[in-house]
Amino acid sequence: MRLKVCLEIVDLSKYFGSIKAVDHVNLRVYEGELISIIGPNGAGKTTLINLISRWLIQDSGSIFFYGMDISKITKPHKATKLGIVRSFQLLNIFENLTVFDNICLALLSKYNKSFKMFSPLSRDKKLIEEVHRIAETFGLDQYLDKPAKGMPHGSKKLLDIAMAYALNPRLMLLDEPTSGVTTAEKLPLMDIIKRAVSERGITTIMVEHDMDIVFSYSNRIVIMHSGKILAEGKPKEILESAEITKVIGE
Amino acid sequence: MLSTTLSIILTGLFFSSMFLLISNSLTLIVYVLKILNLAQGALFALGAYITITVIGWMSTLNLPLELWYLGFIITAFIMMLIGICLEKGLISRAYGETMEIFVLLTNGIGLALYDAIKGIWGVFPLMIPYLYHSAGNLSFYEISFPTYNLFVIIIGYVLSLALWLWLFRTHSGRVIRASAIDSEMSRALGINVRRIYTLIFALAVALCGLAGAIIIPIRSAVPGFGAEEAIISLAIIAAGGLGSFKGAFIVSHVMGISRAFGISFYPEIELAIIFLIVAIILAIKPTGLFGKEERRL
Amino acid sequence: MKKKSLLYIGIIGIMALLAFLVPFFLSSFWIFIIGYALITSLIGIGFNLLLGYNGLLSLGHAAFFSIGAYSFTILMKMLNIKSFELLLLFALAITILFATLIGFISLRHIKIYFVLITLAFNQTIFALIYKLYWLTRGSDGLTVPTPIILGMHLEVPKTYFINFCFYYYILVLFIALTVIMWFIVNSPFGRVLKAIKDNAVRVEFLGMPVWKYRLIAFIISCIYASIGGILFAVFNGFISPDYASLLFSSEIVFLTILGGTDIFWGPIIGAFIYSIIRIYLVTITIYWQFILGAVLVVLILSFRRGVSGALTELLSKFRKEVK
Repeated sequence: MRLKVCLEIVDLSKYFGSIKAVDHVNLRVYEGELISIIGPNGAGKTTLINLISRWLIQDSGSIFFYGMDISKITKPHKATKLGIVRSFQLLNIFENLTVFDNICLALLSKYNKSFKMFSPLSRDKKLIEEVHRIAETFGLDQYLDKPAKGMPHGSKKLLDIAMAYALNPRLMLLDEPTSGVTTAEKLPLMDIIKRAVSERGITTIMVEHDMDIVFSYSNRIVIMHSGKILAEGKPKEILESAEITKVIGE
Repeated sequence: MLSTTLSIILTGLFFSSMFLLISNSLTLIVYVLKILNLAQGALFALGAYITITVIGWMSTLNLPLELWYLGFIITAFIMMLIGICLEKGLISRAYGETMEIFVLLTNGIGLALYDAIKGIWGVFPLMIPYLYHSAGNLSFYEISFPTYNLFVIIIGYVLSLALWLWLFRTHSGRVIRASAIDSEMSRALGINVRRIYTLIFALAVALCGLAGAIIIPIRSAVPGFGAEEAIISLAIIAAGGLGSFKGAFIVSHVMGISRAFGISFYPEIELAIIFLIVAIILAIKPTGLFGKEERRL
Repeated sequence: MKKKSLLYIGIIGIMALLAFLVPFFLSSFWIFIIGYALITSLIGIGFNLLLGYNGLLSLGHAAFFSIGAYSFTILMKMLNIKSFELLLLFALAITILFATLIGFISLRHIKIYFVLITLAFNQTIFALIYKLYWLTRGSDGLTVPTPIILGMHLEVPKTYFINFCFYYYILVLFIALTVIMWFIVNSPFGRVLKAIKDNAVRVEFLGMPVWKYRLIAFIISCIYASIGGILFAVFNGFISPDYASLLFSSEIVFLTILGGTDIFWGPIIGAFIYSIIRIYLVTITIYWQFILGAVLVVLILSFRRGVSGALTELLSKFRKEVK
């Protein structure tokens, strides 16, 4: 059974002055996969995510999303509308709003209800139900009425991802989902994420530093260094290659 | 034809010099303290009124005319003291807040100051024309240009040059610039940033007041004095790029000379044109000619 | 919870009742003050949509107040139309045109640049009103003839019209527009605005183009200011360029902050206090700007959340003690 290609990156480059943040990268991501991108700091991982989510514009090369050329898109919200959603390395949630509001906003965007001015939210039962459901999926239902900034860090990260998930994306970009989370909480967090994306078959690209997580949860691993892709393959293949393990060890 | 143009250009330089002083004052505060000061109109007026009192007092002492110019220095000094009080008493209490807070704060201070001036000096126009007339006129190339205006032009440029040299060529200037660029880092390096803020604010207030001071022999001091110049200066630093001395310098001249031409040929819409120019510049380059690029959103 | 809403409704009811009784019990002077307060409340609520809910400080709302007032008056005189509603529609159309244009340009900027460019536009409009004598009579100002409201040809003396008929017109419009704003603020759109204030980047990444929401909020805000101007033009019978000045823009900001930007009712409270102080104060001292400035400074430094903020704090302290 041939898998559909979700994302095709062709010869993508992005330079910051003389620094080659992303250097002629080629990558193909299949639908439903969970791919991890790993590499040392400054390898270009976050830049790649920024390029895919259209926060940055590439200097050369193209990106195809389900066959469509998205390289010309300059505004992130258009990419989001197409189904490319991301979470953030440094938290990017609405700290002063309640958890309910946070998730609700994502849903408002998804259902194009964000311009409604005259129907109060309290009347939209279906929407409210869905907010509750998503909060439950990510274990956030106890915090629904509280402002987001009062939550523990791990829950905030889950909220960040829950918002992305609520948008019903086709491609999810997770930038260091477990960073800043205590070791005890990491695995449960990843379990929740993995379950959520598998249920809906969401293609996921994850940037991570924690190797245990990377090797436990990924279908494929991509190693980046100095803006280039060094190697990619299934976790077993990577582990069995001695020279790659040397790079990872750095 | 040549003589008219020359005279207009000289008038233009005269306006530019005024704008330079006020814009430099504004830019200093934006550059170092990162706040926008909406009180400069009132401070400009305050400088003017204080000068009237000072020189008025000096005239009773029967001093030679040349020494009257010392009155400006005395005014600048008094303005510095006022600046220190304002900074320590009011402005510094709001450090850490957003720029909008400071806009409102300085706006309030400006409003209160204007009325305080009204209360102290009354509403009748005050003037000291003697200084202006006694300087006489310079005649060359068929035009007659008041010597005092030339004095204003020179002062404006000299002070601006001095400021620029100090900030960009001396060691203490480098310290100031460091505090401006990265106050946290500077603090960590042991620089007393708070004292620098006070100093710079006081200096800016003195500059602004001095601008008002040297203009007073030519104009009469009335309530609302300087409001127009103040707003134009805001427009200048916005168009030149907030915090950019180079931008303030260039746009001050653009404004000054346009104003001179405007007054000669189209006096009615002169003010509207000025703001339209600024609005157009900002529409094309939102951060001003030399402003720093801010991340959108 | 039920008790709280009953309390609110009770307070609102009493206020409304008092407002309705005003023309019967107060002098012309005070009717004017209350009318002015209602008008500036409208401006404040509209302004707070930008400031409180969107985090944008505009120093250009006096311009829109004047655009409303002057368009209305000039059209009335030029086209010889007397119908208030018709003129209102025309004036609003002009306002929306200006608001869209100015908003489009200003909202590309953030924070302090936005403040500056709204200031620039305000001064441009002010200068235009001041200098285009043939159209606006410049600093002489324009007298505003009495329009016909709701098509009713009332054969009444002018003072009766202003103090009774038009006062009630203002009151009804005030209630209607406040209710509309309440809906807007509590709607999905209002939530997006609050989110934008909190974290505009994330809103963009959630798939919503931030500038569109800001522009709509800006236009709505300007419409409110403009309606305020139109109502004032008729109520006052006279308009002048002073109401396009930066000073008036500052007063609009002042009354909004005075009342408090956090709560929906804040600007209304602020507008009432401001109107009483402003109009009454001018009769006792010429130094009212000093008081305005000083109070603004004190507000900024000590009572950031305004009167409504101070009140809610008092209330919560009271509730804690009762518990």
